[in-house]
Amino acid sequence: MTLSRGLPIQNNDDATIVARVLAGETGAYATLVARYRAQFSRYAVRMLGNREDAEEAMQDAFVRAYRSLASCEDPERFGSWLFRILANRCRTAGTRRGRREKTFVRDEVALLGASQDHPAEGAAWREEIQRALLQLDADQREAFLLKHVEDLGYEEMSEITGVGVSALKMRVKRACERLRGLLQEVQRD
Amino acid sequence: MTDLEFDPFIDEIARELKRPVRLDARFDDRVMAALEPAVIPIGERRVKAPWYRLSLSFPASLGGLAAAAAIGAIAAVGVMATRDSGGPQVASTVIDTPLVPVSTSSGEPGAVLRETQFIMVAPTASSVSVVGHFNDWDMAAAPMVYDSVHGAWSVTIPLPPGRHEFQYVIDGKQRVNDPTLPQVSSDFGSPNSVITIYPKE
Repeated sequence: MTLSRGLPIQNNDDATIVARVLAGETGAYATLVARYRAQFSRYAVRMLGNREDAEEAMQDAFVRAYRSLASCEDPERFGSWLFRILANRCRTAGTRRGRREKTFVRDEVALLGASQDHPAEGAAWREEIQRALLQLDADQREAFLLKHVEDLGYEEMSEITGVGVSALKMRVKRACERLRGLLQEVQRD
Repeated sequence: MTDLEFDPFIDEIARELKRPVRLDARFDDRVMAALEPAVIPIGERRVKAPWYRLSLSFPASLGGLAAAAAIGAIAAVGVMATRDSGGPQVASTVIDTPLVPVSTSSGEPGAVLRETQFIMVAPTASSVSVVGHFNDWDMAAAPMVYDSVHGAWSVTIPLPPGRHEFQYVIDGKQRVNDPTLPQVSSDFGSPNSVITIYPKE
């Protein structure tokens, strides 16, 4: 599989840390948590739309990965393996809380994109983007985020999602069309 | 839009969505705290080795499992250990032959069940049972029998073909999954192991 220019999900040092954890040094796992937390939290928050659900999905993913560490066949690619688990958790959480996703809290979105150097107008635009994102079907949202936000290649997306490349391309295309429609409408208002 | 096309509007959206997000400052601590009672693998690790080769060395000495291995009908074997009880705990889920033609719980006559052996090596446990959809998650329905020689608990349950969610319950409170089997979230959000029983051809 060709590694993408997006997520740096291969780290040779990961294999060493995985070996230490498997040998019983549980504390070494904290290094992996710290290493992948920031990268993966963005995906989880964008996918689920709020920090609470994202943290729950991420914690679940980290714990599941820890419990199944012996089944990680290529520990040098622990990050990629972990991301697959997280994507699955986000999918499950999204299904379980689909209705709740549609209810959007303005303050939460402002917090997610919090940046002191952006005016209120920027925050409002970010909110509209996140709102539009959450109006996509979960499959389309997942494909769009993996492609355009995490900068993954289609082959890698296919490996993560278990969905064929053609279907993923179609999902991305439809997601782009839907986002364009939703957000250009907002811009016109 | 094809993969090679650049769309400035989509790029602007993606740029906004790429902004970093903040998690609770205690997130890492919470994750590490959640690991303490968790299950971690044990044993010599063989990179790229099939999971069954990794795990068979431990439970293969168990009589029922050895027989199952000889028959070659093992479908899934997992290895895990807990850190909280002082001794390793190994869980295995084995589908064994022969087929047992009986009526299913749903009353379907002539349905074929497959003997499925569950093994948990937990020498410090006072009791271990298997709970799942197949016994209405009743801890009293499938108590495992202890083998002091191996420190192992086991029970064999005939299961019909299909997907079955289950967990091991240690001392009536600690729920453990088989990490090598697929997991699904229960209605309560906790993970359950899933074993798929295929009809034998």
